[in-house]
Amino acid sequence: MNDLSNLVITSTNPCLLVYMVDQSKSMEDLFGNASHSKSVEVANAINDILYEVGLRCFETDGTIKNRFEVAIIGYGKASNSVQSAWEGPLQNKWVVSIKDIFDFPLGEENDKPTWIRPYAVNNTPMTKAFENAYRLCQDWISWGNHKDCHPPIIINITDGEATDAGNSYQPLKEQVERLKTLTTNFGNAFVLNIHISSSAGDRKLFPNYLDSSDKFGSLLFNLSSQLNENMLRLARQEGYNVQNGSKGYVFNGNASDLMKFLNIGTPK
Amino acid sequence: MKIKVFHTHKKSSITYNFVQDKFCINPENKTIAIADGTTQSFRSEFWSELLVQEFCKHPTFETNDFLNLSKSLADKIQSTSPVYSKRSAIASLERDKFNKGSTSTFLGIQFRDQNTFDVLTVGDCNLFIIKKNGDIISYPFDSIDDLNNNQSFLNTINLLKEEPDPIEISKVQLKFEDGDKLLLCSDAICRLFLSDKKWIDEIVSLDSFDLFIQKIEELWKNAVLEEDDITIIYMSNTIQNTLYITPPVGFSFPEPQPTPPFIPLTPIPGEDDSNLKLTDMDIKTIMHNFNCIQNDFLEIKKKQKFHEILLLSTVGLLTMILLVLVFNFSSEETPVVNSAPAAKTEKKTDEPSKQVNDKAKTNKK
Repeated sequence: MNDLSNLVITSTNPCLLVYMVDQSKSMEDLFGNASHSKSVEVANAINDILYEVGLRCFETDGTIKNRFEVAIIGYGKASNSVQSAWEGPLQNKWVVSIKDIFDFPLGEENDKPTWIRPYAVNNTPMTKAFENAYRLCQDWISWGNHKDCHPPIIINITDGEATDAGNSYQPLKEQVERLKTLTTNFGNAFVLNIHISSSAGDRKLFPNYLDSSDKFGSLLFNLSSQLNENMLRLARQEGYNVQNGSKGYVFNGNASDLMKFLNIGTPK
Repeated sequence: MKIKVFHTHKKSSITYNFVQDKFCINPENKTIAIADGTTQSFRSEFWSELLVQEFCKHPTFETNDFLNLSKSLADKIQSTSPVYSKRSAIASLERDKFNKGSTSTFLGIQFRDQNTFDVLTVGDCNLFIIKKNGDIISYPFDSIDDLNNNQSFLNTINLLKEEPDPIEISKVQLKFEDGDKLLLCSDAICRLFLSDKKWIDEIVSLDSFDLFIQKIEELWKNAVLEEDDITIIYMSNTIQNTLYITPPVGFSFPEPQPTPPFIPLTPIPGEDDSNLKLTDMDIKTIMHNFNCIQNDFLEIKKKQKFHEILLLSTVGLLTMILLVLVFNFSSEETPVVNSAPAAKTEKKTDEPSKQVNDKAKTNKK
């Protein structure tokens, strides 16, 4: 296994980012004190992080280098349904290079391109979404020279519990563990989870130990990968008190946590 | 003072005109400056170029004077009206980058006399003095950690603020004695030199761009050196001429061959038929991939044909050599056993017939 800290993400060795977005009914609740819903906040955050990735790949000669490929998996827009969240010219595509993302925006808000629209419709088929992420990541790693690339990073944003994992959550657990076993020559795929909430109390930010009565919260904590060196550095820059062993997990995160979480999960 | 300049761009810039490291040598003012424009900021190569040129024209080592000079230059940069892309998403990136300003690090020196020079630096450029006895003095950083921890730089927007965020400026006066060597370096190559001093001699002894870039590419490939623009200005009394080791006209790194766009092959669970329909982009991608495969096959076929011809020629040649050998072998064996006695027999038989003829002639007589 090669050392990830020596890897430079380039257009010949890109990195796959998979954002999994909960589009279940509960996402229509207001997000904290904001006047908009959680689904709007998440869509805004995803649009912002895509824009941020574009800025990182934008070269002085005016071109965007394809250093990142991005999948956005929406779950819960229809009953037990998982679909690509890309719309417009990118509709039906699962993985899109950052160059194509900027060539085909869906619209524009405040002089900035947007790609994702908010949805809050049905239940929470998270297990199916992780199964989908597994298949995408497995195919992506087998493609071309991707074995020599940064391992895929999967960031799951949810406000609730999976509705397709039974009482024991065993199917979900199996899917996520399977996803984490996928490897490139630079290590295993990273799975990060953020649970967003409108309630103020009980925030858990990148813990390395979780003593929670929330069964599902504990599960997501256990299933989350440990932050790597680069993520730890970014988390410290964002002002979080993280130590070696801290996990890529936030419980009851607010709007600021959400954007920072996405930034920390997205390599520079 | 004689000088040797090593300068090249990083691979991802492809051509030299996008190099963001800049340098300037002004013999009149005895001033030298290098600046490293950051990749992430807007057209930082213009900013770093302006900084080195203007500093060499108006060198100053007073903090306020230097900041005022930088501020006036920042104003020049930010008051230009850039032409943005017609594609709205790209234009928004350009606008955003322009509004965040151009960023560069800087190192400038000026010789007061033959043996003394002033230094002013902002950010992670560094200088080394190699003393005659082999000792090395580095300034302002003498370890990679110190260099990495420094986050100071000159940003055009920050400079134009009423109250700019603090800019860490390091200043010093240093001695340069006979037999000493002096190097000014941008960050990536400086990290290499700080990691192991052996690299200094190995690199500054190179005398041509070909050798220099060969070495740099080897270090990049082995991940010993970070892929970045490289600037080294090397001064030594032993060098007889000022030598610029920079990319020749037309030099460029090859464009990287990107992996064909990824298309997931495994059906996605629960996907309805509409999700399986291919878009125009998918079809184009698949056609492109098929064309690539077709080209590869043609190439393989060509090679195979060539190999067949080569094999046949070799077999033919070998057969001919074998035949010639067999023929020679058999033709060498026959004369020893048969030919020579046959000739003798012929002679013997000729003579009696001659004798018979002679006898016949005598009988006639």
